[in-house]
Amino acid sequence: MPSGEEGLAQLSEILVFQQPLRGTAQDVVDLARTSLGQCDGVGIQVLAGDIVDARATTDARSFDLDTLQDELDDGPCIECLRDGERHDLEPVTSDERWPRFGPSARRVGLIACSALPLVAHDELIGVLNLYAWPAVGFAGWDRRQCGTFAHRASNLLASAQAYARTQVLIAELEGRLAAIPGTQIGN
Amino acid sequence: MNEPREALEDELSDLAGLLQTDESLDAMLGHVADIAVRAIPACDAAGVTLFEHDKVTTAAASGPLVQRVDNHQYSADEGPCLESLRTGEIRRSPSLADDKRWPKFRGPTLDEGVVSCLSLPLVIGNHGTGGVLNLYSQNRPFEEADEVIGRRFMPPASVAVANARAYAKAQAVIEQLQEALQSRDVIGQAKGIIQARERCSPDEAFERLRDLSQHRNIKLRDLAKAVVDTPDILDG
Repeated sequence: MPSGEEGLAQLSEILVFQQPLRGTAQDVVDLARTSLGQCDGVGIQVLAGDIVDARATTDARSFDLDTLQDELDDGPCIECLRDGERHDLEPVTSDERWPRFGPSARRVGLIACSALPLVAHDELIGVLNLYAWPAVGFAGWDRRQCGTFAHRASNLLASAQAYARTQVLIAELEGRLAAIPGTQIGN
Repeated sequence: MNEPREALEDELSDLAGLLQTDESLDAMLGHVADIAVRAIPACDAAGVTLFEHDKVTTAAASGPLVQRVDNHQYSADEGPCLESLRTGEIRRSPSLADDKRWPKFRGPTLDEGVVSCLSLPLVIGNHGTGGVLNLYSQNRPFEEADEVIGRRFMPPASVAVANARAYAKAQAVIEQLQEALQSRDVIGQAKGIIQARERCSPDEAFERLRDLSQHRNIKLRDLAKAVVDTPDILDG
């Protein structure tokens, strides 16, 4: 299991052109879970304007918690997407800022969560949700390390999006070219 | 010169992740060379050599010295950069004056005032060595400690270069496709003009255009543009 520093280093070694954006997002959440201490599950949403461009989670419980926040339109993830700020819920048992999400999350064993904004080129491009559900011993996250991870993940995902856009444009241009009948270039 | 090394490593790691979509590949490679000069104590000049289409080129350099020394390697077909490119391994020469490995490269390089060099391969998994980060010193030798820092730079620098190259290649494909589309648009317009003037089918109009192109020895696209600009040339 990589340390926080190793996780950051590995994040800087992901190639953006070897897989679709969804794969890069999956790499980011997997690396976050294994390298950020006290992190039991991770979810991510990557945006293109107002549309969710890619989603990824490390496990079923994180998927359910991401979905729950979406469905209830409540929780740190939703608030982070609204104001672009980091929002921590720790521990849920004494935090009632999100009255709809809090009790439901408690029922599935969530101890704490942190929603980190993903910002690249001064633009909010998504949110990284860290979840913790250990029975005892949750000591909070290393805020600085999580912030650095989110910053670097933002850059990586923005690059993956930029590359993905080139591939979409190439496919579109090829389609338009193929649709023009009867011309042969090359004379 | 005395910036904290961690800050420079962070800068390079950021560069690896963030594609500057409004910046050229050369500019990005220039940043990598610049960070290397600032981070590695003995380094006075740095450059990135890329290998593409069976050709080596100096794609970025911190100053004119780099291009001159690189040229000595390319023309002699030997030197630390080329060896690093071929083997995928680091090549360090603490003292070029005492180094017998590259006799044709050594003389002209010493004449440039370079006393020591360090070449770091930019390797991406099974993609092979796509380039080399070359570091030159005019004052002091590259020691083991410089190589250790250099090794830390290799992964993020390799990724930065690979990502930027992939993006640049995709951009080039887009430009080619857009050019081809524009070309076909012009041909389509010319066909329309011929159809209207000669009351023929689209296929016949294209045949007429192609015959004229061959007869007058003008490229199809150029002829089509001429027809669109001056339809009367069809009468000539």
